[in-house]
Amino acid sequence: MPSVRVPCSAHDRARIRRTLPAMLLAALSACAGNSAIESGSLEVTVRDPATGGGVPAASVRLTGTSLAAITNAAGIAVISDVRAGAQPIRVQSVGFCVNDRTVRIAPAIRTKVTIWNCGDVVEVHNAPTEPAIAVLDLRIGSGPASQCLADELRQGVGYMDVGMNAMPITPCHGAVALLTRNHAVYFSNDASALPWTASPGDVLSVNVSPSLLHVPIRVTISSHASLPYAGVLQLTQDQLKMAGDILSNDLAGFDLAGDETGAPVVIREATAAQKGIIGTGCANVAAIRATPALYSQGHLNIFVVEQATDHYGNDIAGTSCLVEQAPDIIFVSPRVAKPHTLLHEVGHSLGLQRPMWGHTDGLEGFWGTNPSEPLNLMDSGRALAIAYLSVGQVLRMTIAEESWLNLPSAPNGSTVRQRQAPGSSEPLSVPCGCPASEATDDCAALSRDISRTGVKNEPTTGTLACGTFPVGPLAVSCGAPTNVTAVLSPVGALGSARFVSLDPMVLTVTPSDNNSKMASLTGVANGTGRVSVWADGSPSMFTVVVSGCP
Amino acid sequence: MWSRRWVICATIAAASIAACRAPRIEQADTLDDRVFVFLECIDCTNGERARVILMGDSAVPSLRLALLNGPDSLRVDALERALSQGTLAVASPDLVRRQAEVYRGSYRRRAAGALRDIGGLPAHRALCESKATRVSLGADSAYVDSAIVRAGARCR
Repeated sequence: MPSVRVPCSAHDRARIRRTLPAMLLAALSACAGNSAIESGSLEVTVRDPATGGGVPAASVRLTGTSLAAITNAAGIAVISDVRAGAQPIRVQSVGFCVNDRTVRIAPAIRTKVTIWNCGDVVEVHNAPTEPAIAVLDLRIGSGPASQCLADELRQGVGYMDVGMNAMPITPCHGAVALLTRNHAVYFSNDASALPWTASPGDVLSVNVSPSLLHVPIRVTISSHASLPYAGVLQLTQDQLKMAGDILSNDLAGFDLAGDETGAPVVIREATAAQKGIIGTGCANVAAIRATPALYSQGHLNIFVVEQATDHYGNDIAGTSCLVEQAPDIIFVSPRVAKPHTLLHEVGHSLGLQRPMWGHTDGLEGFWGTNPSEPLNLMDSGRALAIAYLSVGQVLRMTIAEESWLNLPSAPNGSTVRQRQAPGSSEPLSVPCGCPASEATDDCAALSRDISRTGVKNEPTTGTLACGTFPVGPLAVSCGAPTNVTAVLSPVGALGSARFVSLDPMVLTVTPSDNNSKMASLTGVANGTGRVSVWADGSPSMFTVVVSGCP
Repeated sequence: MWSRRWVICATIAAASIAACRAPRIEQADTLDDRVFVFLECIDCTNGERARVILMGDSAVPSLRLALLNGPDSLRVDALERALSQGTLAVASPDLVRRQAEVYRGSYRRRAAGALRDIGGLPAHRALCESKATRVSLGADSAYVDSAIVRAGARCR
């Protein structure tokens, strides 16, 4: 639009002179108001790692600005009117080292951070503005006072103060895991790569994977008798949304995707013939695996059915086919499922299998609104919707040997982690422990976690079972039921066992009940059959020779 | 005269026998804890269902309550609140509505299935009673009807 210049009259000039100061004041007020919204204040506490006390007279400066303050006797300095967002700061005390950090200033409130003066630091080099959690195995002190510390948790944004002087790791175990929102979990147990020296101020700078780990899933909707296909599709999409929200919220480091490039999940409808193959539960695993249109070795294959059933024909909301040693096959019934059931089953497939079948009911250290209202994703059912994963659970899902992410899932025997995050998939030196309270060098305890709202479960009484000892081999006569009893590991532990015939054409298995250590075997054809026994840990297997059949 | 008196007595006797054969279902205000755990379980690996079936008739009042009313309204409220105001990304009102309905339906389905397998007159009566509330069963009515048929219950 063309502009038109209109000459000012004397009256106009006088009016402008009268109103200009008010207009400028209004503009300045507007700017000041905007500044109050877009800025906040920063309170820095500088602490001495040796004593834990505050460090007085340290300078705190926003790098590249004139905004600065000196810490008081308690080691606290406050800087006002700091622009919101990520801001680099430098903390320097007289005669000590320089501490450079990036802090995230929240608008309109006072952001509080603690800097451990000259302490060691873990820095997420390529994600400086992301919330992060570090899990560290460290050594502190020297000589007789030397201690090995396991699974120390630190939280921060872009960096985490270790809060102590980490020493050269030998003879302790050294490891570091990093959880961030938008990157795969970083894990290293390579002690030689740790920078810790006897001097303070060491920085462990980690470049996390450029993206999340993409856990490829294929979703096939099978039966949907009580709802139109569109209705079941919507419920399935609800499950996927809840899964995505929980994984992001808990810094799980992976998402559920259509393939390993992160493509969107594709939901298919099974044909009539395929529905017959899928069935309602894990009984059809062999047939599913033999049908390329239904099964992909490189995916978690999720089947959505009207009503999923377990081995005994009982209605269930979902199941991962662990007993059949098919963690890549999952059944879900969104018509009877909790909003987080699909992710619960994915949790089982990714190594959350023990103790207590991977369920956290009653396990020490898991959070609930009160003891009877659990909040953990892997509770066996009562958790409603705010279902969290602990740091220990997230770690196991990524690094546990029984996690599907670390099992061969391609013709060349490679794993999902090897294909997508080769820089952080060092082989584990020690398998993840069982039960939950038992950590190993590389795996934190399942319940290891940041502080959450609620109350924690009390310690579990008794020892929890982690597996079974193999039974047999046995010889049974055709048609004559033979009773067997699972021996839990460790002996005398609490837990239940489940028996599954892997060769039902040779012999059948009838449990004494669904929560028992006993079962009855019946031969139906001459030959050798296999039975899997599953008790809170990895399944064991034994063989049964059937004879005497016509 | 005599025959008329006889008819009245016979009617009273028949009614008494019928009353004996059709015991009233004990009403439950809250769910038995074993039934509650069964109704809520996801993969149900700890014998939740077997324990309820073993309870037999004593499980019927709780299962009837679950079949007719669904979950405790406080739990439905808690689910809706958790989905719409939780620490997770806020879910859409449609998702909240759908998931609340699924939650109600899950109780009805599981209760119907357990009543079917427990069997016997009290269980059959509870199943038949649900037919009167067919409207509230919505998409789950076919499942409950199937349970009635498989249980062999004869509903009037």
